[in-house]
Amino acid sequence: MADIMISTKNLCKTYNGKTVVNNVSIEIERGAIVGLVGQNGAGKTTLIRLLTGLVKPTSGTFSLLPSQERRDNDVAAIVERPSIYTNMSAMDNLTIQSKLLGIVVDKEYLKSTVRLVGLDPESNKKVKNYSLGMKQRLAIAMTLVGKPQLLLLDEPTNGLDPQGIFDMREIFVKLNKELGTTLLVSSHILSELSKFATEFYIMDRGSVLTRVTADELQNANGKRIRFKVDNLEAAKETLSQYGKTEAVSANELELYSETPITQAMLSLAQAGITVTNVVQLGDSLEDYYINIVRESRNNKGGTSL
Amino acid sequence: MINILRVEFFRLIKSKLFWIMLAICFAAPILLSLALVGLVSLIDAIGGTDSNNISYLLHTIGVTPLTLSELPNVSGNIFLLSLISSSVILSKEFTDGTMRNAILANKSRKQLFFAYLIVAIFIGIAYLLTYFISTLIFVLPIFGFNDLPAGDAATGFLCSLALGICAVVFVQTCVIMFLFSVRKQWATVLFPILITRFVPALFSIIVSIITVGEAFQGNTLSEAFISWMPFVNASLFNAAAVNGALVGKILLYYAIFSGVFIVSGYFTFEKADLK
Repeated sequence: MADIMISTKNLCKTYNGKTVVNNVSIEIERGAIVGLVGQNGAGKTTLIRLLTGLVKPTSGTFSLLPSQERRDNDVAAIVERPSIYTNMSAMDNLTIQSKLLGIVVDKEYLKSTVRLVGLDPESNKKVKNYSLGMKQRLAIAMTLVGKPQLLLLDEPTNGLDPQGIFDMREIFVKLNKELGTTLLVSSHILSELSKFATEFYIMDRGSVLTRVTADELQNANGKRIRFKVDNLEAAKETLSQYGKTEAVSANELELYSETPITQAMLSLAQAGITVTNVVQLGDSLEDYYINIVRESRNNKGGTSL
Repeated sequence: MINILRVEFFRLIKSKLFWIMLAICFAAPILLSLALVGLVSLIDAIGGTDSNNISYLLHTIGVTPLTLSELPNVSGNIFLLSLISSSVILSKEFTDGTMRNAILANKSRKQLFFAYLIVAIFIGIAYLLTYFISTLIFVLPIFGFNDLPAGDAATGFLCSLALGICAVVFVQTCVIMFLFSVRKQWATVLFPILITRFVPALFSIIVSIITVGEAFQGNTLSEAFISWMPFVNASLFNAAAVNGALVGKILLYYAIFSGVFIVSGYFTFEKADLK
């Protein structure tokens, strides 16, 4: 039987009569990296806030680590903005976190954690003088202090530069691989999320529309290659041998296939077709998300995306 | 709760505001003594009045009992300092959003509320004790204690200290109530100041109005009546002549008000959604 880390049953949250989380029932297994996908106002942040205990559910129930006795350091989270003491140094912040979790203050471990997120543990600079990106890095370091089993992250890469985003992704994957930490990550950057999440929950207007694993997503969308050619009809005929083709403009078409680009290009060249541009369209999560939400809204008769 | 207390005391030790306010509490009785001794010396230097008479006057007025008699009064400066210190330091947990870390660390709201209450009361008592000890060291040896027998003086000291601690509890429960119900720094600082300054003033005005009304009818307002008026009764306390019944009434009111603050603050926080 799977070891469940998060379980919610008909979880609802209503603010002033407006339902922001609507009957959410999900189960997340140990070791998963789950992406929570949805536009602003979809209910992602409120769902994470409910799970962290910051807000009280209007109805429904939830449980974190239901199969075991939860210790203070088992769950960590970043919700919206970094929760850090701004008039203290990074090391002081981590010392406080250790005290709060009731674990021995191991200075060397804390220093290595500060280094891991790319900050200087020897610096006495107060956090209020940090950039947003540095604060976000420190907030991530704070969550790592207790080596949590479950990490809830709401937009964890907010304010980070591309290198920072890459570094954080590496840290999350490392945590998952080495410590078996289960991650629930909400993000607007779907291309980023699709690089490391193993499953996704798609939310819209407070409800979870669907759950999809990374493999299912791959199968559902397949891969697409977009070609810009001088002879659209001839190109369609040539590429049809590899899979479904679809014209997207007067001189562009997309091929839905796992075929390597070089092979498709070779076929086009042999057919005497000039290719002026070629793009591998890999952001299948975004397409999948758009389709699911559009379908849901059409079924409900609401406004489309 | 122990872990929350460890965090808050660590923060307290690192807080400049806490130490500055503590230093002020220690310095206040020293400054009072220096000012009075300086005044006597000045008058002596001018030669206008016999300095012995001035010294005698200060001795008879009872600078020490007067200072200690102020301790049960929540409008006193010592309480203002402790109120500002605790509200600024503790409300930072909400402004920085660090309160969330404790909730994520599986701490219940009950643990949070009472841990913060303990820290706030600790701050208040630390200031009160510092002021009290500084008074014993720097005021008592110079001005004496109205030549009272040691037993009476000790009763005066202990009663003023006990009432001072009750006043601290009143002020700090007020701070904690606003901290956990409004969760904004400005409100946590401002509202307790308004309550500790204006509510006693309001009761004083009520007593004054009743006194004038009674005077028009040719009556005098009895001290027994005033002793039942909350906050105003604290101003009747005299460390040099302790009245047990009055002490009981002051204690009773502070206990009732503190209880109300705790209950309302706790239940508001228990149901609240946090940012």
